[in-house]
Amino acid sequence: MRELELDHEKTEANMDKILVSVTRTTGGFYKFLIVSLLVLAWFGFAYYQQLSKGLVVTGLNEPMYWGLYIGTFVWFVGIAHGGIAISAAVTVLNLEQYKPVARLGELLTLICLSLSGIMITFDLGRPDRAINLVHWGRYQSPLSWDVFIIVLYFMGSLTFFYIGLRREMPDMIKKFPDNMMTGVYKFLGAGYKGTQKDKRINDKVGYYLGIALLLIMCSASGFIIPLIFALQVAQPGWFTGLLPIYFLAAALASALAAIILMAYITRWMFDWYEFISDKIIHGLAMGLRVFLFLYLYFIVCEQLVMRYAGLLPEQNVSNALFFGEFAPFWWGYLILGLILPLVILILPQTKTIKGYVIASAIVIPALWLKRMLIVLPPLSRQLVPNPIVDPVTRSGFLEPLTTYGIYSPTWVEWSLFAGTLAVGFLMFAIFAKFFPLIELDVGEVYVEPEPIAATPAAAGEVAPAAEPTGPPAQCELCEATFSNLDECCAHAEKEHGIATDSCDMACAEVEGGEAPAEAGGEMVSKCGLCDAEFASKDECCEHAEKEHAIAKDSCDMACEDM
Amino acid sequence: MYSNVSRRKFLKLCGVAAGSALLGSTVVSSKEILKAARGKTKYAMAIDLKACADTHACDGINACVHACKTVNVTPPNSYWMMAIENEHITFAERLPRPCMQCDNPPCVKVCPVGATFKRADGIILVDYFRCIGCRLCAVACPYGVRYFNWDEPTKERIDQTRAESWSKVNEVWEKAGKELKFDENDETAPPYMIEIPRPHGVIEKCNFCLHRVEKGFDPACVVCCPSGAIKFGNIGDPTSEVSQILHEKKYIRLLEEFNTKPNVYYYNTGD
Repeated sequence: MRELELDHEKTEANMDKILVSVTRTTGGFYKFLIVSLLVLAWFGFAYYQQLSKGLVVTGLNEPMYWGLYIGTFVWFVGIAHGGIAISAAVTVLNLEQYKPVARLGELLTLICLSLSGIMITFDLGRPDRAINLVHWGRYQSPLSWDVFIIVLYFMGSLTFFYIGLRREMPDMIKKFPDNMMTGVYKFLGAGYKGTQKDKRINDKVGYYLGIALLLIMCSASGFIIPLIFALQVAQPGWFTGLLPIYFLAAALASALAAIILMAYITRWMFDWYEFISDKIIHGLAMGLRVFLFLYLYFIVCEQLVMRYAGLLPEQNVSNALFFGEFAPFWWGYLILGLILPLVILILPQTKTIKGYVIASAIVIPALWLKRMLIVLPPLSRQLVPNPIVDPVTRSGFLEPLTTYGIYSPTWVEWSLFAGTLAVGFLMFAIFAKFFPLIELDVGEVYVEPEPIAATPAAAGEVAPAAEPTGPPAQCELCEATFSNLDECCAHAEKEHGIATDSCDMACAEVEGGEAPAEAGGEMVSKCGLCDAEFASKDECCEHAEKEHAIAKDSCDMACEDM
Repeated sequence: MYSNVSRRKFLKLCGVAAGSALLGSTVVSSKEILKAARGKTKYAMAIDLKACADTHACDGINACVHACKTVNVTPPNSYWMMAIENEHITFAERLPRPCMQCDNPPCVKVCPVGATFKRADGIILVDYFRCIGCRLCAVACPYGVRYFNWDEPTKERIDQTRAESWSKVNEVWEKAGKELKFDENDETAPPYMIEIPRPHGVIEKCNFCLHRVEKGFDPACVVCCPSGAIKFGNIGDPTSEVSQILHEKKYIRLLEEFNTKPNVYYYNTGD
């Protein structure tokens, strides 16, 4: 049929709209930069304290060997998964409607994976020896698997991201021919010319890489990261087969929430309401609802088994959560951090965009708290009491006498956390300043090309206003006749859903200027394919060529004499 | 900075077996344990819980705990040898707990760089110069015997720790009315410290006083126990005290069901 043509004006306008993050720099951006740099300076000071004095500046101790750094690491890795999930879903599962948020999602993945890598180096006692992981790495260790899968995931996501970005370099070069970034655009473009062949190759690579990344994503957060906890026989509460899928549900929930927030905030900041529609946010929110519900289900499974018939150490951990020192955080999380967002996402009154954003804004920090609630309680209830070392010895509600560990993050840990977040925001802002945040082909607008004059009589429709009562016309789809073309067009739009612009597809004028009678003997030729009647064989042949793509030479096949 | 070279050489000399865990046999009964170890060198500890409970000189201050601290100069919150008191255990008054030197060690399994390893003679060591301080082994140990060096030890702290701990050991022996004597040839006798203080950021743990064992002497906790409740020996040698105890007596091991196959046996648990 007809090829849709690119409406260059509108596309350019949309591209400009998308690139407003690059072209427009408000005072707010500079304020944000200054605040971030201040936070980074403070973070640098805090990190220097940790590097010079050792991990003693943190709240970590025996038996709380792991704390904020590890919990936050898991949180970042979790959020990182959604990004590539969206992009891969768009590419692989053909969920085209989410294309506008695909780039935002990919950025989220790349940034959060980097932040998680930073977080984990804070936790190492000897970061100067991190290279030992490569030099002396043991394949038997879950930590080696973690390092491997995160690096693999990062490299894969970066490549996938680059494939999408490269496509836009010709446009960026065209728009900013004389910029400090033009050289970078040229380098990144790497000879992409936007031809059909280029596009096809690009899409194919993207497709297969998308599949691979979907698999990696499921294995990374769903399997390998949680294994570092699940394989520890010494820590009840971690030592369960449920942990891998448990972490995956939380990862996807936090990731979708993060994308919802990003989409909402960027479209508000840059006025991208036409690109990032409410439907996208609604779709993401419904996905979030599914994963939140799954997470609630996994929590119920875990706690039910632990409380009903768990081994004593497991029951101690569960009691620590329900009634012990973690109780305010646990119940706070369950009620405000999990049930409340779920309710918001279920009740029709709160299923609004604002509701979705509020639910997402609750889910993300709530899942951070939940990660801490996963990491800390098992460590605090050691299997073999260590009375000299463990600071607390008492029996809690439903807990026999045992020793507890206590952990409270210090200012150094909070500062490093804040600094890492600042790094993340800075990375995002700097990217937005130089590259489009939405894929540029989202802004492409296609229109029908100008209609070709099919019959001589049809030329009359070009200026309908000049002839208010034009020659009579007949609807080719239902053979109703009308006194003029306008009426026929109105009929076509109403009955057959054909836009007025395309009216000529449906209505043809009848030669001779007379309203054809129903049983008009003037109908000479009939189209065998659609039973439309025409006043002449030529008209029928024109119709056949136009509507049924039958060449004029073969017109006899289509048109019968009546 | 401490010289790596001498440390590494020392470890090499001792026949270091780097890498993965020694896959133990699936034995539980002492007969099979002893049979499996026959002819080899395999160190184990047997702890007489009745003798330990009867040592009232140790009420309040445990000699073994502080002897270990003297010789190995551990950081403040780190107790390679620990004594767990009455209110936490059901089957004894007091439970000395060194590293179990497991035959199926969860700690060795999870080390990402192989810094912790099991020697052929059963002792599990930490390479303080390869450890990256991720603390995965500490998290993996069900007994809680692995400790982390949160900061760099200073000379003052080392000296102070050694002096304090040694005075506590002497206090206990005075209360017991006995005299603490070491072999004349024993260069490694406390309070002289041979074991180097560990740098910050690495994991450490009980190593059965390897620096003493290599010279033919017993670990510090064994020697400094006023009632000799802690026995140390080679279960590959059927004439050693530990072998005979395992052969004759009923014993328990901690957290047996976790299949870690620990090498510290507790006997005389009844009454």
